[in-house]
Amino acid sequence: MKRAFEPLGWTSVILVALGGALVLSPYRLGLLALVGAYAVASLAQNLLAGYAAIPSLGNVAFMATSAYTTASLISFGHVQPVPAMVLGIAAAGILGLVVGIPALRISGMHLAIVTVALVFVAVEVMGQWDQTHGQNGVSVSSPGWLLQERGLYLAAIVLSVISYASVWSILHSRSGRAILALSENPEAAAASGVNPVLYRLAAFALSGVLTGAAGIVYLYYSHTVTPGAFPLDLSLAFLTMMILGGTRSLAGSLLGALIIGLLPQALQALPPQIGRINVQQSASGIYALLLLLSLRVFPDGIWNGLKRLAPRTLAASRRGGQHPP
Amino acid sequence: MQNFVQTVILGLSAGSLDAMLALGIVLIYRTTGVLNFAQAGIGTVAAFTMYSVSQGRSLWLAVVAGLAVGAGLGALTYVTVHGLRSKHYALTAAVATLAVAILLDQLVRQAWGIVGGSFPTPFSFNALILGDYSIPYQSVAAVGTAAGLALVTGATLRWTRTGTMIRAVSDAPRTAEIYGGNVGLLLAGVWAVAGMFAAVAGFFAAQQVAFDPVFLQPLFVGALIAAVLAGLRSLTLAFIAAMLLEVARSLYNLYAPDPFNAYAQTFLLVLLILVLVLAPRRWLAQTRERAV
Repeated sequence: MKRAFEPLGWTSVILVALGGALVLSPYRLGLLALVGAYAVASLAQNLLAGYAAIPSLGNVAFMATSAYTTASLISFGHVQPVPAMVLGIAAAGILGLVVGIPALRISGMHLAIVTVALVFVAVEVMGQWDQTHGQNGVSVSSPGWLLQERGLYLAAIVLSVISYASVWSILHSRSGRAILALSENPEAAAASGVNPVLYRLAAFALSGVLTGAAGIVYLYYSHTVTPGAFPLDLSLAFLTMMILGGTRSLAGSLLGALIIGLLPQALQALPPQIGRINVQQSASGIYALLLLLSLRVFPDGIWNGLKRLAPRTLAASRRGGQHPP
Repeated sequence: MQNFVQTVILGLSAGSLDAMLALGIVLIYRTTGVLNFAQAGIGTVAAFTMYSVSQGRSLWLAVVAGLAVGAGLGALTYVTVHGLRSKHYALTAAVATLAVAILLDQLVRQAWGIVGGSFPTPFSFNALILGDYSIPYQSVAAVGTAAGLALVTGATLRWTRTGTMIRAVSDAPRTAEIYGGNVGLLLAGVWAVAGMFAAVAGFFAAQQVAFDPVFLQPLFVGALIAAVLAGLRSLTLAFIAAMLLEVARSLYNLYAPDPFNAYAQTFLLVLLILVLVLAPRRWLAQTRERAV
């Protein structure tokens, strides 16, 4: 029953999402496109920090790399958009590989610190790049269909589905089992013939590629990228999506991205100023509060928590049915 | 030669600021196994508190208020991350401190934002003249304070009863509790002391760099790297590493060819990776993160 429900359930979700393109306003479509980008970034974060247990706190650097590379190739190199996007995503994947090489020797806290430093380095490199070109940020102007909200939304949906399917396939393959084995017990996995170098580098590169793809959506959502668009806060947001939704849960990643992505919309329902607090500028603070709350209440994420609660509730209701009060 | 020596002096001055932050990071990691990403945030809030209190009042009163805020925020961070543990994510408490850092950043932006004035200083703008070289009194005080903090903390941990209890708690918290140690209070105290170190760093840094809500962030990267170079264990090594790191950064800025000299953070990251990759494994042995 469960096996039959899952494809049916996901197909319904995708159809509803695609149908949204027909009825939603351009503003909402743009916002949901951003949620799609976050979903892909959250899946990438979960692959690396959740399934592979590699403590990366700097995935936003991959996003910045692809967005800046693509925008610069289009604006300064006059490269066609599609090859520019491919090169941008490839650049993020290569950065993943480059960071992955020291990660073969460094682990735990040390690796976490290296990835945090990577974010500051990315901001420095982008800032210097801007100074060299005498401007603040890089803009994109083509392709036109992607600059419109409906096209961007559909592209984000397609990208999310492809990313989810790719990560799901990898995790259910021999490679996925190798990644999980390495995260649980590296020595035993290596003794069983798993190549730690290959799989750790692959996890980094794939995470880089996926986050890079999310960076392209982010670029077309904002039209202009600046160094300030990729702070450490955004990395924390990806982590929050993963932890809030559910570490080692792909559906949890999507749920986390949906909650965090729609937060600015929810904030608009509140008064702009509560006391001395500017509500619209408090999104990062609310991510942080949500993260702390989630770690306390659902340490393994809302999705995993609900999954644990559901059978109990079902069992309780069945018991209730058999023995009515 | 004069340029070289003056750059080294500049590096030592900046290194002392990194060192104050690094000492707090190492102290917390050594006792609780948690990497505290909120250290710079605590220093920033403390410095802005000092700035506010100093308006029309004594600067020393402001410093005391800032130290109290630093200690309070340190202890509060401990309480916030206390007991957090996830089955699937190893660095739960460290990530929680990152969340605290973001909250503190929001607090500074919302409560103060960009302040117009400069941070008050108790030091004269004159400099200590040694031959051809001049060393600002602020820098002398900062280096002296950082060295003093490293020595006093190291000596306290090694030779006092409280220090012995802290070491016992960090090595075997359950056993220390059975023998009557108040583990929670001791650890909160350690975090409070680290918070005061951050406040001291904020006090000295605010006088030397542009005073804005992110003024401690560039120093924090250096502090993190210095803490790692010290194996996240030794206070003395953290102090020395911070000083050497900033001297290396200053010399890189001076001698690296254009345009590479603009990439000082990148230089530090490469240096960190090289050390981590080449250092003996034993040196980099880590304490497993505990649910503090």
